[in-house]
Amino acid sequence: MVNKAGNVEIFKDEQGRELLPSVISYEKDVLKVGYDVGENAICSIKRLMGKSVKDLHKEGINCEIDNESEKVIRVKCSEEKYLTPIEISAEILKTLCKRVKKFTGMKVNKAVITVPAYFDDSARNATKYAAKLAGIDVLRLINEPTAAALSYSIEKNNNSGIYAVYDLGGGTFDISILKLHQGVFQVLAVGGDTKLGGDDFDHLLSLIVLEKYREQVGLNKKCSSVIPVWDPESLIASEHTRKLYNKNWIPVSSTAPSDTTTYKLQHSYTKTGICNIRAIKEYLSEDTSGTFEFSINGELFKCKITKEEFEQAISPLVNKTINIVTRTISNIDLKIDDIKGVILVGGATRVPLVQNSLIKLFGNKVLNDVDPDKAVANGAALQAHYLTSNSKDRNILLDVLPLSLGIETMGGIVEKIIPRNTPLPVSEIKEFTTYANGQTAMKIHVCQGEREMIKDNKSLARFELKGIPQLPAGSAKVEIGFTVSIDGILTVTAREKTTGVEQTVKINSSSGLNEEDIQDMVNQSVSNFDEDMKARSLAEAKINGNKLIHLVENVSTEQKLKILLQNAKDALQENDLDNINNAISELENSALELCESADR
Amino acid sequence: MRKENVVVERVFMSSNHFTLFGIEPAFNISFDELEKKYIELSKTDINERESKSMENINKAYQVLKSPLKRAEHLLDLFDVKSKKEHLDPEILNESMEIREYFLDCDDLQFASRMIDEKVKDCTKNLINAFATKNFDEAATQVFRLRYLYKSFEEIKENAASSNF
Repeated sequence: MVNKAGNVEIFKDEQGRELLPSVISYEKDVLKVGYDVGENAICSIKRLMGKSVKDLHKEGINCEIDNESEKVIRVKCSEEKYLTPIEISAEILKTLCKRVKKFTGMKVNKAVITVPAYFDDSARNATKYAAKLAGIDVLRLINEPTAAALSYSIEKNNNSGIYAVYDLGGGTFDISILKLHQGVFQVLAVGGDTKLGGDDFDHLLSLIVLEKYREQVGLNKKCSSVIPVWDPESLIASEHTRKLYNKNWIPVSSTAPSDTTTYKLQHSYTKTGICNIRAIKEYLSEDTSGTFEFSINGELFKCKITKEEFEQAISPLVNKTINIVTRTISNIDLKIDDIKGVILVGGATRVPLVQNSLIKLFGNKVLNDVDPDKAVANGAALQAHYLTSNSKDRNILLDVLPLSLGIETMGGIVEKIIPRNTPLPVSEIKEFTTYANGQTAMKIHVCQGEREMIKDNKSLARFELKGIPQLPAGSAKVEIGFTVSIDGILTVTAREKTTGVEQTVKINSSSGLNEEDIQDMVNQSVSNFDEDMKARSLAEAKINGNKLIHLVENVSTEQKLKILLQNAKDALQENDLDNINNAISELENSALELCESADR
Repeated sequence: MRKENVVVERVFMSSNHFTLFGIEPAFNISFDELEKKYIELSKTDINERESKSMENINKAYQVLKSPLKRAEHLLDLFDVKSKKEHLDPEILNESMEIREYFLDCDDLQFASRMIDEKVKDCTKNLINAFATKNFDEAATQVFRLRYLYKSFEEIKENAASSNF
């Protein structure tokens, strides 16, 4: 909320917390978002936005998905519940909307939503659909680093020069180079990696623990999860420089912190494994080593972890981000010296190795007086304010296309139509021709990425232009037009020049969902309540059914029951509630009859 | 895209990008001046979402910003036909030399400096050619610049991949 003084206020939840971690869990049909999530919570859902099942295999993203569908990703949330990334994101958005409603009594109708600058077209579309699903009209999608720069500039009243925004969040990494003019934020270039983030640091940290465990126990056993167990006594902070932002740690005693204050984790933070690992990461950001206790495969295991070990493990990832930074800067013919300041955004920029690496590259130009958790939200709120208040001194954001757009030509080679870092909005037309004599149709395969070969880039859409007049090869003229909106969303038109045959496609095929699917999902979420009730009845029927089957199998070997048992088992494999109920009640009745006749 | 939009787009394509920015058509323009105009124009474009003009502003900016595209646009404006069939042997020679040099060169920084020098020389020639209205020479230099840029892109790519 932008208050009368023009400052941003962030809505808090009932516990007074401003941030909402983007994690969700689904346990026993209870959906939890942000805090107090269950053990199998899903995080980094952003990484899956706009991805297809094929992309997952290609990029080696590890998550449990339902294997039935070939196109649509459905993430396993619990035994019974599979959700698409769009639905999961929508749940997170809904939770935020509820918070606003509780606070102000007003419904959220429109919103500015931020996305990583390096998001491709399908990820942006997926984000828009998630908003739609949550009942929000998207005023504008803006890039997170741009939003951060906006908030920085307003806050510090600093409005000229070239800045770099280094944004390392939980799931993604982004670098943007912006030039600030009075009230105009001109993005010069963006770069990044949508598969690199703080969550990877957490993962590496848990690998260190596993490695130590194996060393000691000498097992080659597969250990799936490392769950830290907290023993406040073993955690003695060597210094009391813990900054206020580290709210996850609270001193055990109520006296003022001293050198020997023992810290323990706040209760709410100790529930999930991954969050716990994150807490160790935070601990190691300020102390050189600590002894921690973990539960691995149900056994207690205690070990010391040093900051050095942790930094060694994550340094390849940090170096990767630094390489992307230097390349992005040199791509637009700038030098490190041209950068006036580096704005840090995203929780993972608190990791000392990250900060030190940046200081090594940029010297004292690294600005860490911006709250990395809130800069993006503040910028988005300011932009929403400018877009809706018709004020004259509003700020203008000039964003760029993050990844080149092109189409496949003969031999799987990509012909770039719009190069990356082109200012948006943009539209471009190129002419193509037929390859064979008398060719009457042309397959058009649109892709996004920097690689030469189509297979290395993200496939956005395929469509066919039919009705090309029969002409010798190379004589037909097909114009392909690409238009990218200010939100970074692409529309493609193909037009045969002599006949005027035309086709237009909005690109959203790669998330595996078309406009109808999305509409269905929107409708579904309106009648969400019914759906959820149904899901719950189904879950209950299955549990009860299984109990009965187990019982009957144990007490009776009657031939008649065997058939009914099989029927019931078959029904439980499916998700048809009526069938399950019928089969189970038949089994139940026959079993009861048998029992009665045996009694007699 | 609606039909009328396509028509607007095509009319625009043959129009003069310099006029939109209020700059005299010339090769030697000040980048700072251009950027200042660009920012001014984007500020006046009030309804950014619906507006088609922002697309045109961006397009013109992209053309005017790049020496190569700016030179090509000028040749278009002066209605100079490019002589693709007639390849200048000097340019061909130069590009062959660059290519050969890259094959056994491991100092990518040196290579990129070398090309940078050549680009500067080419730009200087272009400035002269346009100033003296020697359009034949300008067309030849445009051709050369295209080659140089392409080689430059290649080194950049090589440099990027060797970083990893």
